[in-house]
Amino acid sequence: MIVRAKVTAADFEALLALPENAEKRLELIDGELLEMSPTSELSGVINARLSARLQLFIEENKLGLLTSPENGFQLSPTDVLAPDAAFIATGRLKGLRRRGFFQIAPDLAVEVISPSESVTAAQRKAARYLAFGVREVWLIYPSERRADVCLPDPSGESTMRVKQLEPNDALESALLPNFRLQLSELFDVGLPILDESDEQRTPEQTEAGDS
Amino acid sequence: MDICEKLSVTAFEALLALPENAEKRLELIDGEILEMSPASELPTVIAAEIAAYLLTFARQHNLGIVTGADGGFQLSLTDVLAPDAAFIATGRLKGLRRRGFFQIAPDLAVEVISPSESVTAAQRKAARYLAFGVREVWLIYPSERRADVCLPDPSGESTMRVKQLEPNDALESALLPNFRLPLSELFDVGLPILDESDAQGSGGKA
Repeated sequence: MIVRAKVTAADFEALLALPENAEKRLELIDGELLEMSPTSELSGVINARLSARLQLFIEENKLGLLTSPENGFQLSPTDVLAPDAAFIATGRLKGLRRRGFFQIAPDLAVEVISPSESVTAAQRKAARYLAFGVREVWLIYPSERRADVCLPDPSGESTMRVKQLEPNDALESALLPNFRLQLSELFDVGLPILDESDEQRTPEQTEAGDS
Repeated sequence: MDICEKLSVTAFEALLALPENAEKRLELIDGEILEMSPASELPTVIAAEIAAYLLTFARQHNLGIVTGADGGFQLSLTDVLAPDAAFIATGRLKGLRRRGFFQIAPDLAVEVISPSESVTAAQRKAARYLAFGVREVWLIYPSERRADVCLPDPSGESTMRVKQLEPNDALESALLPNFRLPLSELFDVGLPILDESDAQGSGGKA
């Protein structure tokens, strides 16, 4: 939901401090507030799985740190973006501050797209990350078991280059040497993926409800 | 709708000749038949507009021919794709045959995306066009008043390069020198765009 107001990052921090916004997840994109609703079952779980794999790899190989969906990145005076996960390479931060948004662009930003989200809006957000210096953006489409790896176009002729990953492909990145996560492994969560028409109750619950 | 079957173009042509398929718009993508349902109101009007703009410009400047939404392009032994509009530059065709699909890739392919269509599927189709030699693909998103211009990546490092057009941008192409169609002009069809909740009856009828 877009709330109409052109705000700066400073206003944005003040807004976040208001009690009525305490429970909200907000982003500031080009001076506009964007409220992120809680994500759907599947995409939230996929995000947690992907973050866990990335975190493990990054820590094991001492590559840097991984941020959570609550972390904000102030990328311009009117942009505070909150990727679902982001990787910041070692050496780019002196330390972590107790307060305040990250003031640098992450090296890698990850967005997991829910069915209710607009794919083109997510891709435009990816382009915005790249314009602010993010080196690589992963867009994950759990419903389609696919992903896009978005890279800057050094020629400047296009907004970005897109590497389309199909269900049999794997996530890899020059930023994370030897990291390799098969999409099938990421998307096989150990539970069937239900259609919207399916009831979200186990048979036991159904029986209990009927009797 | 996917019907599971790996088909060749020959088998596809035979299928199209069957009376029960006479009314259907089918594509063959990697040996799979894909049935295209009739497009919704807004996208079909936009597709007609784009074809008209392209046709007018191509004819004025003798650049080539423009195909409509039912033009089939046989791009491999198991691919017959039908873009919503396509441009073939002069000199690439000796003439037009009365029967049969185009056997060459168009220079430009245009796909107009309905709200019911998967954006990622359309983008994967765009990549498929480029892999078959199409030089540029326009993906048009009427509901968002936006478009993507998809170009091959000469470095081969990515699937394609994407030029994202915002509502204030214009469609342009190196294939059509001096062609310029502002998205606002394309999307302002002269009628208000209704939400799904709005009833589609004229005031007079009500």
